Amino acid sequence: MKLTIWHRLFGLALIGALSLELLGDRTTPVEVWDYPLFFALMGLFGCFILSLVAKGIVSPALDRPEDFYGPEDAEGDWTSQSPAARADARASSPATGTASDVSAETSGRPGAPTEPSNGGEG
Amino acid sequence: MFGAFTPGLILIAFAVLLPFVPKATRSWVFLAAPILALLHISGFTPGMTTSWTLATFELTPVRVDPLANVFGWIFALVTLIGGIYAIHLKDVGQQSSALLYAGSALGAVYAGDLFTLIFFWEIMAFASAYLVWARRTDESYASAMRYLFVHIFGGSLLLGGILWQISETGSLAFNTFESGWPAWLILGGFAVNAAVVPFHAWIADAYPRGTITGSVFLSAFTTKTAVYTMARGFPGWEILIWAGLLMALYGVTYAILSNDIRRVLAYHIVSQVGFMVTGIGIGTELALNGATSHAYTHILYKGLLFMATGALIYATGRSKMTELGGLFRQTPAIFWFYMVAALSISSAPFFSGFISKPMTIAGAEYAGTPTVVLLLHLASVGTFLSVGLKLPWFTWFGSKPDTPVTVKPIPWNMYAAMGIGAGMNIVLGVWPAPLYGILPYEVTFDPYELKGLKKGFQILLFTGLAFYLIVDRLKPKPKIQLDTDWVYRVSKDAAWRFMVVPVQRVFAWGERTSWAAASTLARLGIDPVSVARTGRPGPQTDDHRSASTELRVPMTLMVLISAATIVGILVVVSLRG
Repeated sequence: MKLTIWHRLFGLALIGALSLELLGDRTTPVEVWDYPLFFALMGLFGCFILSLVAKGIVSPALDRPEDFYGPEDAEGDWTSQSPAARADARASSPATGTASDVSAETSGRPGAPTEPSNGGEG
Repeated sequence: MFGAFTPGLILIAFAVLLPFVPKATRSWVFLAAPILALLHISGFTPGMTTSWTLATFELTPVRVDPLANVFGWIFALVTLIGGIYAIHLKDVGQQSSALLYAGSALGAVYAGDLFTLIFFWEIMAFASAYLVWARRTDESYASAMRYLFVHIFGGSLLLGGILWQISETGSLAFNTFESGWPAWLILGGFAVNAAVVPFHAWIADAYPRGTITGSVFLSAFTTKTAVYTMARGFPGWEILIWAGLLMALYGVTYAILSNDIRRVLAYHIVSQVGFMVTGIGIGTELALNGATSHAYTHILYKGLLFMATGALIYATGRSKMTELGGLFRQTPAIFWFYMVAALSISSAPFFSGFISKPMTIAGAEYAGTPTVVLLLHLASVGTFLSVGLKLPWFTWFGSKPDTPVTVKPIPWNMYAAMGIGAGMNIVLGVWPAPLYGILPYEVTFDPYELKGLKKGFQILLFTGLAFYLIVDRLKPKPKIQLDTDWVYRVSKDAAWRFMVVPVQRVFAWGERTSWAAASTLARLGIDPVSVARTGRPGPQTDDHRSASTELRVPMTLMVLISAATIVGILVVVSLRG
């Protein structure tokens, strides 16, 4: 792996953060966070633990397709798609895997939208 | 005669006037409202109150004290910054509802009684829902309806608790609550707005679907008003420590997985409000100062985060990390503004979050709750991981998406608002004295002690190292994650079938029956003499028939309803007598 200037700067910053341990008065640790390098290890392993929980446990259990609640629910492009264009797009590509049809909530409501989907942002 | 009035009324008055202002100047007139509110607040002195008598109750529409003032200042400030961000906007509905929303939030924080509180609380719910609805897409409409559903539920809990509280104490005063059923109901109402797990899903559902400018306002008011009310009514309630911890960790876990950039930020509201709720639960002066100051800085940096991501969505038309990437060269200014906010929320030294979040954690440390301290530090790691590293990496760096991104220029006012927001986050980070000077209690905490700096730098840099090592495993996926809104989203059809349809049937039966009864009576009433003689109605002419259908039946129905109402009232009065 080629070391860039950014790698070197980041390495220096890590050393700088660790060298802060050398400054200040030494006191007898009372709590676990009083031990040297505690917060460096907390950052390192905390990141691993949270990533492991999120990606290893939560994600396999709770991940669903973006149109899980219905095709209208998978919001995306903000620029060009008016609701009418979206309806056309949906009609030409049938959705999959829906658990609940949101269109049932919205069908027949008065004042159906006719403006672009960016809420008057220009 | 009326005494001091709440600054919220200034914003509400402008919200009403705005539709009558010429379109070309409307955005500028908008800005006058928060400026006047700020001037009004600057004239407030702690201890100032306004009291009215309503029937036998004493109302206090305005109560000025340090706690209310902290929230008052920042609410008015963020309304001004949000107004600048929205100068280009040509939608008077959004502009008026934003002012109405901000005004009612200000009204709620200066409310000294529960009646005034719930009055503004309910206005807030409807005005904010409009900012989601105003995007005018099917999903934003549905999301706004779910948002309203949840907030009406929360408002009902609050109203029930208030009525119960009045019946028990006879007082409308909004002060610290004693434990009991009314207090629990009121706390439930506050918890819904504070996005306490499991009542939090509305935030990740609605905020990513709000308009670009609307979500900036949304990020500021609802949850922080709830934090204020919790700090006022429930300091030191231990359950809030654990509720806050759950929020802090739950929020970051979902944020790590989210694909939509504003959904990442929405989950981080849950997480950051968790820090505040924990501080309130600890309830010491240090922890309450921490929670209050964190609410203040949170409004500043979260507003900037929503402004920067909103600007990116405006420029690219995309909101998902899987559809973004490699945009640094095209949108460098937006990236740097975003990073100021991201470093602030991660409590990096010299940024605003560094003067507030560590104060909350120090509150837990001094309260002798090591588990709480460790879990809050873990949540801090998750904050930097998802908002400070993952989101910017996969949005502005990382690999480019398959479909090229077209970047259009953003209005000057968006840059101006982000610049002001970024400047305030940095100034407050290096010079916390102005904020510390207005906190409810005297501040003895110094974030820039060596210990604090060591903690701040080590956590951030080593989280960065870990991210560098596992970045490929954190690549976003085009997925959503099930959350507690699943309960009311999938059960909606069943709820309709079992709760709405039977009621509709009862009403339909009642309508048919009463119409048939009125129709029969009307026919008998055409010739009552014939009925008395023969027991049957007399012969009907064409005139009679048309009169029966056009006038007689509805009139008879009205008479029947009136009679039933009078009988009902008489029965109730006689029973009570």
